[in-house]
Amino acid sequence: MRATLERARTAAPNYVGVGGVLFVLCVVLSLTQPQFLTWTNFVNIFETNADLLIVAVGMTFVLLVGGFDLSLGGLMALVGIILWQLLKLGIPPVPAIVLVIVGAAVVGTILNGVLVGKVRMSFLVVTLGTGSIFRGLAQVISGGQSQSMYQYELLLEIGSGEWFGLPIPVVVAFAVLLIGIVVLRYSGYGRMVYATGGNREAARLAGINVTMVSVSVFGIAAFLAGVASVIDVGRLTSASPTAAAGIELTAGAAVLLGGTTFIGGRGSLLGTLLGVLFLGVLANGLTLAGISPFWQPVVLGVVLIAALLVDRLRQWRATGS
Amino acid sequence: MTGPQPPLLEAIAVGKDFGSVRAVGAVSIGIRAGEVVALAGENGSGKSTLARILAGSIRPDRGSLLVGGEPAQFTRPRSALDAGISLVTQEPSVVPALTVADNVMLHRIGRGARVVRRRNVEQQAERALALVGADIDPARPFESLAPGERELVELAKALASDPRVLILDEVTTRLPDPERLFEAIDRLCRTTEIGVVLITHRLREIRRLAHRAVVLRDGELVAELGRDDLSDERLSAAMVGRELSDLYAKPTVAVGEPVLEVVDLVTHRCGQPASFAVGRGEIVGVAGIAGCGRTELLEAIAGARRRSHGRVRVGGEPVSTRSPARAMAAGIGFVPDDRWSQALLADQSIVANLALASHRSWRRTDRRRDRDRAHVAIERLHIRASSIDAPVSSLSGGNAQKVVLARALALEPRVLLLSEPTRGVDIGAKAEIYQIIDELVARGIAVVISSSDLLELLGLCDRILAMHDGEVVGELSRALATEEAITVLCGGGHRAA
Repeated sequence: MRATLERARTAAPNYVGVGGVLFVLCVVLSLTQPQFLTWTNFVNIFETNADLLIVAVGMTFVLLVGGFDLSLGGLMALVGIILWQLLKLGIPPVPAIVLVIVGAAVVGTILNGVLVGKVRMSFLVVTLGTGSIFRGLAQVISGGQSQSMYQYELLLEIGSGEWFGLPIPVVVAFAVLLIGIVVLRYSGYGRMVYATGGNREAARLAGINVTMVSVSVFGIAAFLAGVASVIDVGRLTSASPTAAAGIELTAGAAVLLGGTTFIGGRGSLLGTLLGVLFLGVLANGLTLAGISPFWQPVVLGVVLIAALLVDRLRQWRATGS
Repeated sequence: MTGPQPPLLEAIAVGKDFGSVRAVGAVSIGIRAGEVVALAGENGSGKSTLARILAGSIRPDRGSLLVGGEPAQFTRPRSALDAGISLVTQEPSVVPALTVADNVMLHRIGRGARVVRRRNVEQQAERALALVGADIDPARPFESLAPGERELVELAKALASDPRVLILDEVTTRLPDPERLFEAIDRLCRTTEIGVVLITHRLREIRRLAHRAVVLRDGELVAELGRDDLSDERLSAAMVGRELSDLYAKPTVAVGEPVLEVVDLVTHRCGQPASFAVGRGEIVGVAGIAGCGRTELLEAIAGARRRSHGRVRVGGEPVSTRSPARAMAAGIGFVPDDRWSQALLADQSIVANLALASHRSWRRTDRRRDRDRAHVAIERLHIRASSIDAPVSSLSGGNAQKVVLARALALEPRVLLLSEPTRGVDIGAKAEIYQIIDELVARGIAVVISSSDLLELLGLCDRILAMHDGEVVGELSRALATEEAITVLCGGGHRAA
């Protein structure tokens, strides 16, 4: 019991900040906006942010080992366009979808993962470069045009169908989140991720294959970007070379808001969920209140910096310097 | 301390705590012009913390500092520099890609956006280099310098800001030939009005350079010795504070058949192959100055260095040195050089740190087993912590080191490699760690200890290997090993059989 308390005291502060702000935001919105506290509105919030949550789960793995993946938005655009191509070539939807998602994981592992994790190049340089390549290729293949895909039943189903009374994107996003939590908390691999991010050299000397860990997290992030891309294609019934622009930055912001540190080794997917929810509720609230959605990134920036500032101040107080 | 002139720098009852650890209690010390004051003490005695307080890079919790008799408060390193206090540490403080001149004059870069004229900078740098007797072209890139030259440039860099007090913190540990540096310091004290604080754990350097010595133990000043009292006996008695024989009470264990055999092991950068064997219940020490390759040797046996060749056998079975995981599986336990950067996840709990070595499978972790192990480890190694869930960063150096040791022991190794097992550990924990090592050899484990602490090696080891320049240059049995003999061998003096 005391051990649990101790753990709560040391682990909780990571995301209580954003949790608190989220709570206050929800209270304010439910008092001022009658539509806010409705089932439909909540499902709507989750549905619009399902892709962000999936990408953010992948980004959490990358950030936990002290990296960042700037290529995810470009990769998502490329996945969508290649899916369009495959379907146009007459490949059935199920194998096509599997193919693009697995392909994304392979490309992410080989390009980002190996270059960053094994060759030890800077993750910023590598993923900035690959992201540019991905989006560029998407432009080349599509001729720069958004491609309509409403004729494919399966994609329509993914975008607007329901499982267990919930939109499919929401179910998929929560399944991804749940699996991610189990992997990070209860599997040996999860502990390896924390160890590698917390102290790479110590993890290596303790016999952990740190190269495998840092290569694999980029594969995981790319795999999940593939999943998110298929969901987006389904929801929009089109593939666009400009799709998902900047989603990697929003996802990264959500992860950092959720208390995962930029240098790695500390953080959790529960925090990431709170970070994504905060962004979702904020956008929803602004829309409900009739405020221009252009304010959303401004508020995001302020809250992100404020959250990290509070964290820093607390550290200063703790170390007394 | 009552000269006609006030001391250049004076600390009055300064103290500093880190969390619950009292690094420096209440120490008073003064430095006058033209003298070299040695700050002596064991690892963890608080001498580096005191040096940082004097240099303004740590703010003391208690006490005050006087510069030239005037109260001073250093809010940042720059203000100490402005007051004429300059610190040189073991960690390089240079920008390798810049030229020697740019590095020497680095302090000027922070002084506003003046147009930098290369000719000027190089002339000023040359003057500072001449002060330390270094004949180095200031236009050369710093990276191109040899190890000995680098330290002289660091010293010149400290002098270029015209300090009145120069604080040297273990600067000789990386030096192959410290004599040049000693001459430079000697000359400085004779020719300038500078005061020098010399921090070292090497008694020989204190005898060679210091006018007097201040000895710290457990954060308190325990002795002040004048030039005539600077004998090894007086110094070490003051530093350790008790008879050394208490500390190293090794019970004699009969040495059995070889457990660890190392044949023609070549490590990266260290040319000559090394071969030796360690028997059941034997403790073999590896001595040598920093950079001699003893750290690399242990890392290579532990599979932690990629580019190494040679054969390692444990119990007659060949062991791959390709990865730490394989070495561990073969029964080699390893406690690396630096616990914070190489062994521990500072933010994480004792449980998580102890479980680190068992996370090599992808399968489900067994929390119950991990927690049970942590309880056992705390009890067996007397680790003092508030709970097994306390982050290791909250532990003292000694207790953190015991966590690292406990993790190596959790895999029940047949061979234990210890690199600097008691660096930065207080004397009490030191004795406990020695006791643990004694228990291990009594159970038949073969132990290899690499240490910069000669007394430790002399007290613990059955045999001592001396290394110089990446090569094992000699071997001394317990009966023949003396501080002098080892020092001569490690300095590359002459070889013994």
